[in-house]
Amino acid sequence: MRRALVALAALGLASCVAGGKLRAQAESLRAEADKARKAGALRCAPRELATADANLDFAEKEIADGNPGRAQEHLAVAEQSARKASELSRDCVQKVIVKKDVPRPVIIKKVQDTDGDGIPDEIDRCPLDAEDKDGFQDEDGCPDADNDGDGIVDAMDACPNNPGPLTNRGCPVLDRDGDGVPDDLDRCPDVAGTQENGGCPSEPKKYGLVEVKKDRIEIRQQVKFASGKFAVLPASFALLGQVAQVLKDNPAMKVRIEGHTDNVGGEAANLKLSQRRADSVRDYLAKKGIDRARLTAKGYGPTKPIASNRTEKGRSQNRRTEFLILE
Amino acid sequence: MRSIAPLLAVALLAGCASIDAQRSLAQAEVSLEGARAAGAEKLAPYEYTSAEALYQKAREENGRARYNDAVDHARRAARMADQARTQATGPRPEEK
Repeated sequence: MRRALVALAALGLASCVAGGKLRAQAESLRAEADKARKAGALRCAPRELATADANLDFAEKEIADGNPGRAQEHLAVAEQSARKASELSRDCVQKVIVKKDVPRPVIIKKVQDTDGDGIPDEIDRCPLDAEDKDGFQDEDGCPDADNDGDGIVDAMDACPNNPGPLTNRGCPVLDRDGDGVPDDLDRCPDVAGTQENGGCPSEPKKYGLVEVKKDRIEIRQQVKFASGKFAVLPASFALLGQVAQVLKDNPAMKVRIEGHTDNVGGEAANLKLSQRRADSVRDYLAKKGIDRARLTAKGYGPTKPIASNRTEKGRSQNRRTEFLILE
Repeated sequence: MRSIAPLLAVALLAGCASIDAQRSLAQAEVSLEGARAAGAEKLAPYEYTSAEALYQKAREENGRARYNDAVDHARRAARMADQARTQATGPRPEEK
């Protein structure tokens, strides 16, 4: 019994000695872990530091519970982790020092603006000419002497941003009637017209010897023929020339040339004469360039009088040539 | 009969402690999973590693039927995992 007590006491003493050694080891490792922490291990070796801390806790608990074997296992892990943490945090300290102690060079870039227009040279398209800042393309750095490009410098241009001729002080010329003829050239600026007519609406052409009516070309003098003959006398060339002009001005117009006589002489002879005279007029117009297909010649003789054949005046009126518009 | 009653009481208490340890371990596991999902392994490595070490220790203690220690470590593991998750989902220092 006494021997057993001595053995137990010896075992207890040995256990105390072993526990003391383990505690000392744990303290030493704790110090190493703390040192690593201060060196920045939380940032550079967080996993290793956490493993070391945890295993040191476990080891201390096992020592307190009297489990030196398990405590030893935890201390081994803690030692390995604490050393690795120290090792990794050593570089970490250097990095921190570099970052904290070396001030970043401050680069002060001097902005150059040669023309002093407030736009730096590096983005100024005209670094030697100051921007005029007149509200037109002020961001490019170039002065714009003639904003609208109409050849009149802005200082002289009443409308610097709208092109216009010098005669209109640089302002655009309006076209109030919208006929394509600018007002300064438009003789009728408020009435739409044609360019050929100076901006005025085209008026019906006036012919001195003839007048175009709805159903006929009215002649103001009679076509003259030699007495009893059918050739047109030169005195009527001007008249027929204007008839031809009417037909040229109205290319779609077709006419019927009617020949009429008074009742003097035989009807058959008059019919023949009126037909020949109508044909003669048609020939003359064809010579003047009018397509024969547009011309019909018809002699009516004395059958369609327009006045009395009893008087000379009436007969004179009945001897006539008419131009009826067919279409 | 008198000798059996204390034994039954001890067994009952031990059973309760075991259940408590299992519950704490399960809770710690859930917290760890949440931290992992939040990216705490990379964003809060110290806390996450600590939580994992505590969880492993809790399981070890549970295996040795040291339920009280298992519960203690498991609870600490859960708290540390929650802390890791909070840190991982919070604003980063450079974002502040």
